[in-house]
Amino acid sequence: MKQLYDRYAPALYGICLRYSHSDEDAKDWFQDGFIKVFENLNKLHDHESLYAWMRSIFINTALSALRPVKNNMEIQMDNDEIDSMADFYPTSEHFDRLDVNIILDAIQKLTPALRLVFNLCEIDGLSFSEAAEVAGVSESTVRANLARAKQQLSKDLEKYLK
Amino acid sequence: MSTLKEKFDNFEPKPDDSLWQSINDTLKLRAIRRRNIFVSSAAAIVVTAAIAIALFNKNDNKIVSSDNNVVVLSQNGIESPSHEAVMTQAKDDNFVSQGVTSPNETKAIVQNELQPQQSGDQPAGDALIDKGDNKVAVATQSNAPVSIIAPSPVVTESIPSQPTVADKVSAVKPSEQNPKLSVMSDSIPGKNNNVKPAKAASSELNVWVPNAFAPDDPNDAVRKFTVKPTNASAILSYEIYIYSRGGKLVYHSRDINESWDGTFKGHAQPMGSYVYIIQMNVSQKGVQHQKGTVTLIR
Repeated sequence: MKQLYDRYAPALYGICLRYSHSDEDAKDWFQDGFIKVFENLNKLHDHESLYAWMRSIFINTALSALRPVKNNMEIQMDNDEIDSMADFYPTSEHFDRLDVNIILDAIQKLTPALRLVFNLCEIDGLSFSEAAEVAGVSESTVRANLARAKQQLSKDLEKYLK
Repeated sequence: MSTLKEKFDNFEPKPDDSLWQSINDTLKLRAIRRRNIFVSSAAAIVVTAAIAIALFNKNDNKIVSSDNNVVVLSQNGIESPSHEAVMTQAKDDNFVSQGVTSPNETKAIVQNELQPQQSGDQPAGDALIDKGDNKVAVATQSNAPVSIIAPSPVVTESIPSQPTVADKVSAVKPSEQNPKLSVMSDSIPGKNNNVKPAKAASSELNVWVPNAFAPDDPNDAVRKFTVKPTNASAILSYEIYIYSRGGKLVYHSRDINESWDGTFKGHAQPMGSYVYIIQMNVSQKGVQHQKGTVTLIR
């Protein structure tokens, strides 16, 4: 059991960190996640998808903490507005230069709704419709939130990009 | 160039060692809690099952013994209770047996906490068995206008000096010399239990009234509460009222041939004591009353 933990804990901890607002939250979810993992290990059959299974547990743990946020989702924006916001978004180059912890800080500063959507779409690679289903909101809400999140991040990271 | 996604794929910060400790501790704690809940649930189930079984058995005995407790009379003595099982009457049940007037008879044995309403020297709740030759009858606890049931035309007999309020009822075999005594089988609970209408030894009695009946009994004779005249032609008029312990009139009739089936407006009445009051006009005797209690057994 400790071996499993040692091998996968860091990655899973990273997931917790970026979904959470603070390190404290992250630690709580991290522990909850592992407890669920260890208590339900016997239900897992397929060895290969162990990491994927654990990942989904951790993301779900984070989600259930964030989901009440649904009502705080930002209002929708029309597509033009969304597109125009994209100009300011850091490029891959920019991100390359930035230390991951700095990015993490900026992400953690986002409001829960924005943070959730940003993580799901930008880092975990969910499509808009998938993210909409997971978050329990409409696709357009997801889009709007994502745009807002990116805008916010750009502002925060600007000083590091100069 | 790494995308943001890639950047975070490689983001694997090592968590504090204390976190592992905390996870371990919590896992152990939860396992202990689960075990405790399991154990206490199992215990609760066992206890509940035990109670259920006990109640089930108690009910069995109750049903059985209730048959046994209808009337117990003997000539010469009372056999000691042959089995404990007969005894388990609930406190609420009032069983009253009808006394017999013959001075040579012995006793009626009465069940449970009947509070004698009239006699002063009746100890409450004592399991006394009257060995004298007194008539014994006991009033019920109910509010109903009950008094002693003596098988005589006179209504209210005073309670004899030695009451037999008994927690235990002993079933006694009827003596053959007293064919008029009603009978209770005391042998095997549940077998051969016959509830027979009580019959008075005295020929002065105008009607015979059973002191118990069981509407669910397969035996027809026991199923209904039927009043039988000693001399049908002498009964010029007849009226009976039956009241529940709470004083509710559950049956009324002017026809002596009519029986009560233990229902009121189609609803089966609960087990317990009921009071009957009979008014008759008997030829050469005039107006006669007879009151008593009858137990409805289920």
